[in-house]
Amino acid sequence: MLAEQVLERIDTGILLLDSSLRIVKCNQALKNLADKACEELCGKPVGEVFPRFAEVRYQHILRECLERGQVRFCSGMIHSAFVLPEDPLRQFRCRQNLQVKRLEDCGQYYVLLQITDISDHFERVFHLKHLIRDLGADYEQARTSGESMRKQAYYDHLTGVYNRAMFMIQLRHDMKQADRNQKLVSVLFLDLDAFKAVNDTYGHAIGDLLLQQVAGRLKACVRSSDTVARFGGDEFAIILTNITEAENVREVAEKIRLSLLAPYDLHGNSLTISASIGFSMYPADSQDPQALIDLADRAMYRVKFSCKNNVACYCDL
Amino acid sequence: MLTELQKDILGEMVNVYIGQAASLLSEMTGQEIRLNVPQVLLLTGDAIALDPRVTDDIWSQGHIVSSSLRFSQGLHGKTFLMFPAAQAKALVNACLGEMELCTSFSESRDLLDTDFDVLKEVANVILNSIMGGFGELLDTCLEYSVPEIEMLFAPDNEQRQFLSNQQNILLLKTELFLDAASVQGFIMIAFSMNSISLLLEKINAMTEDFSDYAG
Repeated sequence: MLAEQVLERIDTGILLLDSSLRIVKCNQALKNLADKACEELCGKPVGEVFPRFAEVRYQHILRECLERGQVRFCSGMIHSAFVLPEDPLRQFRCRQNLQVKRLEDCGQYYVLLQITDISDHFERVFHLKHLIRDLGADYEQARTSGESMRKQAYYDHLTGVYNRAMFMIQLRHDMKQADRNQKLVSVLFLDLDAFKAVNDTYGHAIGDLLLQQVAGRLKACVRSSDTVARFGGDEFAIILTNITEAENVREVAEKIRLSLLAPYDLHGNSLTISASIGFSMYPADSQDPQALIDLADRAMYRVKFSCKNNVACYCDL
Repeated sequence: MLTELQKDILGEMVNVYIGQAASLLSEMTGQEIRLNVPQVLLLTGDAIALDPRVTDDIWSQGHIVSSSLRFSQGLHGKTFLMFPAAQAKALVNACLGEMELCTSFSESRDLLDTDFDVLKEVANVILNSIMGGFGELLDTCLEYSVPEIEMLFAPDNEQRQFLSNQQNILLLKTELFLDAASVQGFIMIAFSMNSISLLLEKINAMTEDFSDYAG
């Protein structure tokens, strides 16, 4: 019969169950999926031949279909497979979608199971998802390494504050901002007094630790909108923004000087150190960023070669 | 339109039905899934297309994934479970335990065929529970169609046309909470005129029982 031929030729595995959930009919596609002959299947309870259907949840689905007519679709992505082949290797990669539907004939209800093999499709999706995951990992690695390069380019590796290059970029930006807001900017140049003696006495490891703690104290003394940078050795520079008069700068510089004077605990060694600080003002002292740094440096040297541990403005020279 | 008491009764019932769906979904996916319907609305005729609670909440989020199934015999109509595409993707990834894909590609709204299969099943379980519950309430059998799934995107005027084609919509705002994600969607049940009358009659009978009991 034509209907019989159609049933045998379609790619979807068909199982027809009676009201006691015994297999009444199956097609060639189903036999191919299960590696079983028809005589091994027909007349047997579906849960006996295909143990998946003996599980409570699938029994429930089949009963709901029989008793209440509920159509159910089960995705192979969630349930894996229902009709497993004999070959364990094929079992492992086997994925099947299942559709459960009720049929009625002469007052009798039947359950129609339609099983579609999606193993090949699943494998493609599996590889695609792994590819996406790998691409994601590569992207993350590239992003992290880009970030690390950016850090190396703009940050001082020892103290974590900005380096000279980033300080210059920030200073140009802050000068433009100050023009717009009609405010002043100040550049502070700071050099630790007798830092070489610390290195010579306690070693470079302690010297490095001291520089890290100095950087921490400098950051604690200024606002988050201000900038702290290390220019190398024991030289630090600071940009103070949004300033209304030079006296405010002097107060902040004094606060910094006093903060740095407090004793440092460096791996059990308690030591103190002072700093010489010079500062210049934008736009009063110069309109050139490099010149502002040089003028602050000159003011700092004036302190260094007079009394040390003090603050001087370029305008005082 | 529904009175507050009718809304309360419908809300209570739907939350019980949907609770059964949640435990089925939890069993299926191996993770705790909670479902909640905090809002129930009944809209009729032209009011549907103009009601901002429908047009804004459902359509404003771009592409949506709609799973639907028809029911007939005791009640007639069509029921839809709708998720914005990005939420649908998050739901699929959560069901498959692939949250890392969710976080790395949270912008991705590309759904694979297999994702549609998962959504189809989730919708099937939820919609079967609700419609099965209504069928039981009215002591009637329902004939269900095979679930269908589609991605929808319609400009404003077409949205209104789509909505105005539905005669009576019972709108259930739905929240799904999974271990690693919370997903918001909508259930729309478009009833025929006769079916909505049957349902409301039953609800009214229940409210009378309730009043008698209270009295």
